Amino acid sequence: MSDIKIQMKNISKVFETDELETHALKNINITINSGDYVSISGPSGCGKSTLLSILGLLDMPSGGEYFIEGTNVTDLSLDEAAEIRNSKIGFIFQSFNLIDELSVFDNVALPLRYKTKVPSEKEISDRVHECLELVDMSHRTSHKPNQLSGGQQQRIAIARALVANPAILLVDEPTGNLDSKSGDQVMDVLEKLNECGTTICMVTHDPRYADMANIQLKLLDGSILTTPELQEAV
Amino acid sequence: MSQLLYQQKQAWMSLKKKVGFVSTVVITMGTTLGALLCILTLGYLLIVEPLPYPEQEKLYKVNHAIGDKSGETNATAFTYPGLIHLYKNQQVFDKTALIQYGEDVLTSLPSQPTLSTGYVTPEWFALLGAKMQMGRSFEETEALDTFNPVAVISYKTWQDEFASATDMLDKKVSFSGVSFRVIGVLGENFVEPQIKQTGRDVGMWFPWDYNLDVRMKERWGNISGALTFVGKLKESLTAAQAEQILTPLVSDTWVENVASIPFFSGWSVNVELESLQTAIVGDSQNTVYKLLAGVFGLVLIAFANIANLFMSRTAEQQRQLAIYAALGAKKIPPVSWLTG
Ligand SMILES: Nc1ncnc2c1ncn2[C@@H]1O[C@H](COP(=O)(O)OP(=O)(O)O)[C@@H](O)[C@H]1O
Ligand SMILES: [Mg+2]
Repeated sequence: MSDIKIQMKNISKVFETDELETHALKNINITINSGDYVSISGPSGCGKSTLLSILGLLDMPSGGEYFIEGTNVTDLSLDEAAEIRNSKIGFIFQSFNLIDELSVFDNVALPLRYKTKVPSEKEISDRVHECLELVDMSHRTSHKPNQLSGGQQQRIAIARALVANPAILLVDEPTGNLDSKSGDQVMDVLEKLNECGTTICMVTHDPRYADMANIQLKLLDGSILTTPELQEAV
Repeated sequence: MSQLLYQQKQAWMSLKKKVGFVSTVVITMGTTLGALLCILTLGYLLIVEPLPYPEQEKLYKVNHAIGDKSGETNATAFTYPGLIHLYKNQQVFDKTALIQYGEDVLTSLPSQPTLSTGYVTPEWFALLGAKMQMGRSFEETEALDTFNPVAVISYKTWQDEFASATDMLDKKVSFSGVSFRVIGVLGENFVEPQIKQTGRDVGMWFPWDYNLDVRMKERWGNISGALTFVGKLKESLTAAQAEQILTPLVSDTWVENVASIPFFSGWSVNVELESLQTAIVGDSQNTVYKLLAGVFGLVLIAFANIANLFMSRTAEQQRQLAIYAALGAKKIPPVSWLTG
């Protein structure tokens, strides 16, 4: 039996600018179960990033309800949202978004330091090395991000996303800034993680990579085109 | 490593990368706050506590303004007999002193130095709260018309001209053919109010009777800028009230005494009280206020500049802040454009 990680009910998002209302998302219903690998694809401007922002609690929906592991997170204070982001969500961005001043080790350790209860130095060190091992980067702990290749940086970012044991990994165009070889490596890492049980939701342009997911959502003009029978997918 | 230490380390590391930023902030704040401190100290010295005398706010210098027919002030200086008349008849000051400033040659020393001299009535040193290094200052025995040939010597002259002689009180000094017995050496801390001229300290003090304007004793038509009157105002009176009382006292007598001189017909005297503070510190208070305003302007400009610097640095850090927020840092508004 699969338990539900993420559930969105009738989520909509409207951007109101001076004279213009943009309906970026309309009536989105998504359910993601533990161990799912979901890809979201669609043309530019269809609302992929907006959906990912709302999934990641970086933005608030205009309507609908959103649950993470059964908890209603539709209306949270900024601090509560920060806590959930820290404990339940791992982000991987197109542009890696590592902190240049910090070493690889410190970058990966960052989410642990923002935990409500900060683990001991030893626990942090163990967990960081464990995650670097998973992405095959344990030999580069004291480097600075700008001393690494793009593919390596993205793998560091994946380790950072994993470090706090999130309920789900949110991935936005992970290969957009990479050549195809590094991109393939990164996708291999994600696939391996999924096989080990990590739940992943990924936005991508590339149909090749979208096919790697077991659930493929197509977004067009803010609506989901085909809604496969999610509950039966696993 | 505690959370606080970790954050300190992180802040320090990111500042280390911005040497230009840090040094600009430090230098700007350093110079402007330094300037502010200087001016504030100067202001305190010149405005709040300018003089080292007891009850200095009650000390006034009296100005004798002689006005011509049109009422305009022709000269501000005392006549000798007018000054004595005021000294003997006034009722508005608790204590008064006459001072005449001059310069004379100390003929009894082989080097024959020229000294700045002061001729005072005995209240002078009491008004200023002067302390003595040795001996005494002037007393009733040196009051007006006693012609007691004694002298009080300044600490500096005692050091420079007499090599700090311990037997100073037995010595005699000669000026203009008169031999004076030294009765006191002023204390090292005595600061003479520089009423007449800044930077000119009297080296030798004598009783008023030996002053150098004494030939004008009966001349109501002659004025001398060296004649000075200082008094401690009575508690119950304001300076304006004192001026109203003193003006007729001085003016009527003067008019009476110059009645025989046609040149002065229609002239009169106006008495003005000038606080000793203003007389000595003078316009520099205004200068200090202007400096203060200027330096405050400077501080404001510096603050504005630094605020600008911080704002541009914050903008520069926006991406980083957004990353921290995405990883669950609180106190930072989440910025969603990371995913854009
Ligand atoms: N902050 C915003 N304010 C106004 N409109 C926005 C904002 N963010 C996105 N949009 C609009 O919402 C729509 C979806 O954008 P987005 O989610 O970025 O698309 P995608 O990531 O699929 O390219 C677009 O029409 C975009 O112009
Ligand atoms: Mg996008």
